[in-house]
Amino acid sequence: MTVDPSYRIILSTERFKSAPRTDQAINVPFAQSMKEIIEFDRSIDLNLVDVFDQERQTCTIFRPVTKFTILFENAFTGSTVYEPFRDNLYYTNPINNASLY
Amino acid sequence: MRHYISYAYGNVYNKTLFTVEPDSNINWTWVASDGIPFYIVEGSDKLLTNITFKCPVEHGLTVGEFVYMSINYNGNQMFQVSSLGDPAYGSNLYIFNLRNVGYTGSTFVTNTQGTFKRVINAANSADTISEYYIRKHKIMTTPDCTVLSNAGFERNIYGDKTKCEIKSLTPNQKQRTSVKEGSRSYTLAFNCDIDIEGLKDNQGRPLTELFFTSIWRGYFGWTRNLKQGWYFNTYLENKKPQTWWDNSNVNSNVTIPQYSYNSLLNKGPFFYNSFLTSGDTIDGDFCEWNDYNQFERVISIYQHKIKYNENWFRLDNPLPTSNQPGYFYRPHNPIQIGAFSEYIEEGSSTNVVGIPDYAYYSTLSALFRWRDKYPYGYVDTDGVGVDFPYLNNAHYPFIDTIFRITPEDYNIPSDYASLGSVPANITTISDPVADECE
Repeated sequence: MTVDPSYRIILSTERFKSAPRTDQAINVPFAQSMKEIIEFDRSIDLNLVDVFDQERQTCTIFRPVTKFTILFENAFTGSTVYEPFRDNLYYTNPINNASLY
Repeated sequence: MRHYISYAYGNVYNKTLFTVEPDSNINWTWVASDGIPFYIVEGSDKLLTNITFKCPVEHGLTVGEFVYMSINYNGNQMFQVSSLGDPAYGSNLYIFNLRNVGYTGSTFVTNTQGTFKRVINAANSADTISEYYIRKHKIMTTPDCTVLSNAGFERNIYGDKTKCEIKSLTPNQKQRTSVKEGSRSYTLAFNCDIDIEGLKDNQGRPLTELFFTSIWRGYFGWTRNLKQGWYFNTYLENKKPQTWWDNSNVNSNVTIPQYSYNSLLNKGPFFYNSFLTSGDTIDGDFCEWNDYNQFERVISIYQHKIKYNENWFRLDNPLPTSNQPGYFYRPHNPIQIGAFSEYIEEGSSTNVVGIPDYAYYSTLSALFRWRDKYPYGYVDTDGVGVDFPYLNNAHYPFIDTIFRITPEDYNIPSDYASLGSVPANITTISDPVADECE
């Protein structure tokens, strides 16, 4: 319930010079623009487990993580004439490096 | 290596496949949708009570089920499985038998080859026949999303080994410390969220599986022609790599672009594989799906083969340069993010509310069939289900992944049986021998 702000209320004797004192009243319309919150909307029981589960079931976001263990052994030997490979890699066979190319 | 997250989103039915039977060197070329290849070990010409079929992969059959074969006897292609295996341990997974009721002619003679599809119930073959296909994956992340960091100080059993080599033993006559590098463990995570909302798997169901997809990058340059195949392509063919892996076989080419560069010494070309990005597709495992029992079985795992750049690094063996041994690895490592029930629900739309959209409608029983998707956090008495942390509006599934890079010709027991040792002409790097002074 509100008062129309366009109303300006002044004392009756102030309206003009020698204005008489009179009783004044304002007709306020009986119009309601707000209401109180219903009790059980305001104080709903929140079960943390239920809320958690509800959010969990509807969630579609995943952040997968893995421990990534690489197993690698028994690499083949070979030969090359490319100097950086030949001079630095334990993978190459020096005899074949010299004889195959 | 570059790492991504992918999921199976579709099936490819017309993929050409090839394999050999490691003991007999019988080979097959077939199309994925044809089913599982077989050859007859003991046919009707042997006049035994059973006709014995052997497959290069696990057949997935049980006694009493049926096989729909590519060969026919008087027009009949459906036969009931009477027993599995032979006296050898584990053979029941690869061998099945039909009762020899007196078949004549050439249909079931020894060494006959063909393919079959599994049928649960011959009276309802339309509903109960299996379909076979290659699973297709779609990449969900970009290379920038990957976060790979050392998993503490963990190292695996193959640690680094070093050796001082005096100058008279080195190619450039300079003393050096040779290092044979081992491998270690990493933590692989992604700095972008994986949102599965609205995504369906290759059978039109909600996603229950993601994959850590790892692709060989090879920027070092001494590999080229990354090839693809399946586990059944690891068997040797006449003690050599299968012809499937030959450079000339376009069916084993990967769809990943390959680029090249010249080194600072102006030598080259050195080859490397392109990045994948979100939305790219890549092949996956060879699978079987049956509408009636709503179950997908992985028949053979998808593999990549790394081959050396023959221009700059050669293996010392007499095999043709176009088909040299290489290294296998498994690109897709699954991580379960959901689970379907062990039981199968069945009901009609008039009596049951909430039938999922992925349910299969059986024309014989006029009922829908499906498996329920378990909620997160629920694990049934058989251990089926997922229960991983949920925090900050995200699920955090975790698995331990052992990523093997396996040299060809190794870890194949059947080859050891026939050869008695590692195949000749294949040499591997031995550990450096260091004496106490070093």
